[in-house]
Parts: sequence; structure tokens; C-alpha cells
Amino acid sequence: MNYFFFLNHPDPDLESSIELFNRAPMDIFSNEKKESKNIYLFYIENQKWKNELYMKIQYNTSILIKKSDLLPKFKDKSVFVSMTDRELNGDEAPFNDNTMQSIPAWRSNIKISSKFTATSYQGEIPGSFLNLNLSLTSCSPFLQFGENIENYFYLINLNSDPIEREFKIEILDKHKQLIDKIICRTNYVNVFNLKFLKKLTDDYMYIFRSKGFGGIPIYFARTIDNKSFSLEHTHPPQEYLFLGNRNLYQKKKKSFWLDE
Amino acid sequence: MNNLIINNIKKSKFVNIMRNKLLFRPSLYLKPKKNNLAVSDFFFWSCKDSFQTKFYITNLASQILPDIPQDDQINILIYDNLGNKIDDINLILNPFETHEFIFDKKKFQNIYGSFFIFHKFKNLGDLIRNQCHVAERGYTGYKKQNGVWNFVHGNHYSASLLPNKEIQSLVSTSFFKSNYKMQVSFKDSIKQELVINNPDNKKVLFEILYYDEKMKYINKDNLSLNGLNTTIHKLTQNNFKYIEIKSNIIFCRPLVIKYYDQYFDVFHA
Repeated sequence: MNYFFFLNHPDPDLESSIELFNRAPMDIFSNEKKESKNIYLFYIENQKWKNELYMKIQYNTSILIKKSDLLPKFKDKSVFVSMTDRELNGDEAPFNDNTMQSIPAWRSNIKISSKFTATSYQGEIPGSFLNLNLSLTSCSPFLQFGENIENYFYLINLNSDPIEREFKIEILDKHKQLIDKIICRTNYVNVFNLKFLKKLTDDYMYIFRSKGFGGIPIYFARTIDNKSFSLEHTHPPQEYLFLGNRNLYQKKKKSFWLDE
Repeated sequence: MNNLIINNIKKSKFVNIMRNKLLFRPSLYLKPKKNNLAVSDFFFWSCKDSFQTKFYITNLASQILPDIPQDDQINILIYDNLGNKIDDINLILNPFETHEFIFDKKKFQNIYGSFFIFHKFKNLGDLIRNQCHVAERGYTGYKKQNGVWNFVHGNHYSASLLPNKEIQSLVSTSFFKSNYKMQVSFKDSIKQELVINNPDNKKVLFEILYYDEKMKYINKDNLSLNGLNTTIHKLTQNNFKYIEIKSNIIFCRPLVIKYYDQYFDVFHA
């Protein structure tokens, strides 16, 4: 199972949406069941996981879901979306199964739009993340500085434990000097305006790290008139290696930046 | 012993290539010829019209082996859309250094293409023993006029650089075509383009299949790309909503550019 999310933004002029497909990207690398599936919305209420059937989706069709299409009770909530052939009871937590197992990953188009433009990426949270103890080391060159430019940092955390916990993210320069801290929540689409960050004089890289919890780090930049956008996530550390025991180096990099 | 021999045969390059050719348990990529070779995506760049391109090159030794601070020797190979090598740049990055490489609009006036970035560092630690290759999959920014830089990360393990400076394509190809179904629709934008490049030396054929909003096949465009060529293919069919790419490259995932009223979106399909 993969999970998808809305990039909620504090600016009411921006719309977040996901476009979900009931088909794997490549037949030769997937054992998908070519049948209709149920789209469920997962959310937390009173420290318990809840889910709600959104709709049935026929095989080989897609659906664009805007955050504003959801019921008003979801307006301020982080909602995680997935598809399964099962019928769920309303208290079932997000789970992992083979429904969307595929190479390349079964993704959705995760988008932020204004009336002038839009930006998106093909993204997912793998169900295998649900029970992992993740940390975060995100080395980002995406911050842009200018009079009319704003940068936002998203951290999307999803895990099976419905207790929402706070955790700290530290922002460092390349010399491991602490620049600032922000507080995130688990099972939440965390978003921060990074206006407190000033341009580093000698480098382009900021390091976002957390020892407690991890997630998908996404960087959104916009001109404040909402006429131009950028959206991209940083690679997990092992993506700078091809083949072999890549996880070993992921651990080495995390140990270095997390001082472990 | 027999199992070991069978496993070695299964892993051999020839068997790997034949499986790909026949689409029998294919792999997305081939293994580089030698253990110490660096790998790169084949990144798109454009100085066409009002487009600007930049790339953040970071010291990958510091990203992969941060406990061994060392220089990183960078080789940037830039090709135009017809596969001609138009620049060959060498840089050295200090430990933990990141360099902003901007494509010079005067030097690359109104043209576009693709580029590789290969890294080399003296101390590979235990990377070779662990059968890992250093791979550049970093971040390219595209911009028009006064908009923000629109970033895209690398997406493929396209090629490795041989000691004689030849490019070895790592993309798997087959006698049969396979389909890549993009998980995105195109009705929301006013103009749409696919950027397709060919990191192989051989010509590759592509079909762009158009589907309407009911996923009913409408039509197709046939394309062919010579070695190291790049094309910006405008999607022109009326009333299409979805796209599939069919190619002898087993995993052919293009870059998508969608144009809106005021700006553009760019991402890997």
C-alpha cells in the first residue's frame, strides 16, 4: 500500500490536490489486480486512527481529489489517502499490503495550484514506513532568496501509532552549526514558512535533521504573487549510490549528521 | 557449489542482457562494466527561448562518506539536442562544498540538450567491496523571466563513464516494446511537453500514445532518437487527457513540462 497526502498551505488562495490512478505504471513490473478498488481517507480523531470510504474507483481510471472537495471536518486535518480492494471498518489504522506493489513505485500527482500556475511531483509514502523508526537527514539546496520569494518546508510524517507526538527538527549549515529549530508533529503534514532563514554567505546547502522522527521532506518556493512555484523533495541518502549495499552508507551519513 | 554457479550465471552480464532483450524478468538498469565507475543521470538543460537552467553540484564524497573529508573531481559533459558534445568541464569541489553551475545563455544561445555529471574521489572507502557506484542524481533548476527556480531531482541511473571517457549506457533495452503509463493527467494546463533523451549510442524508437478522458486510445506520435539526442516533444493531439510511452527502452520515464497561465511545472512523470 502507498499513501498520498495533501500539501495543505496556510495561504487560502492555494489549493492542494492529489491525482490518484487505479493502474500500475508498468504491467511487466506489477502483479496488480485489475479491478475496482476503494479509496479511503485516513485521519486521526481523539488519538485514534479513523478511516472513511471516499469512493470506489474503477480499474484504469483516475480521480483528482482536491482538499477542498472533502467534508468540512477535514479542513484543518492531515488526511492520508490510499486504495485497497478490502472493505475497512471505520477504526482501522493505515496498514501495509501488496495492493500497490510495483516497480517503479505506484505514485500520485501531488500538486499545489493557484489561479495562475501549479507545481507538482509524483509522490507517495510507502506503507513499509508505517512501522519504521525513521530519522531525518535532508541536505537541501532548494532555498531561494529574493524580495518577492518565500520558501516553505513540508515534512510529512505517517506512522501507525495514532498518538500525535511533537519532535524537533534542527536546521544546520554545512559546518554543523545550528541555525534554527522547528517543532513538528507525527502523523501530520507539517508546513513552515522559512522566512527566518537568511542567505548563507558561503554555501547553498541547508541540512534539516531530526533524531526522533522522520518523514518526506519537501521544499516549496513561490513568488508571493503566486505566479511562479517550485516543489521538490530531497533524495534519501542512499540515492547517491547505485547497486550494492546502499543502506550501509545511508546509516553512515545519518550517523554523521545526527552525531550518533 | 551448483547453486553458486547457477547464481553467477544468473548474475552474468550476458544473461542479464538476454533477459532484458526477451523481457523475461527484466531489470531496469545494467551494471557498469567496472566496479569503480561513476554513474550519472542524463539531465535535461535548456537555454531555448527564455529558459534558464542551473544545477547544484555537491561534493558527493561528503554526502556518501562524510567521515572521509576529501576533494571531489567533477566532470561535466554537455551535449546539444543532436548528441554533439559541446562542452567538457572539470571542477574540483572541496569537502562539503556545493557549486551552483549555471548554463551560460551567451555560450549556449537558444539551444538545449542533456548533460552528465561524473564524480571521482581518491578514497572510495569500502564502496567497491560493497559493490556500490557513486551516482549523480542531483537537482536541476529551470526558470523563465522573473519566476522562481523550478527544481527537479535526478531520476535515472542513465550511464557510466569508462576510463577511456566513453559513455556506457545503463538503460535496459529489449527487442519488444514496453509501456510506461504516466500517473498524471494533462487537461489542467494550456500546453504540454515531454522531454525525452537517449543516453545510449544506438537509435531508439518511441511511441507516444494519447488517451481521452475515458482512457480510450486516440492516436499516437512516432519518434526516433539517435544516440545522446534530446527532444522536447509537444503534445498536440486534441482532447487527450492521458499519455503512455512505448519504447524499446524498458523503463522510459520522461520529464514533463506543463505550461499554465503565468508559469510552468516540471517534474518526472
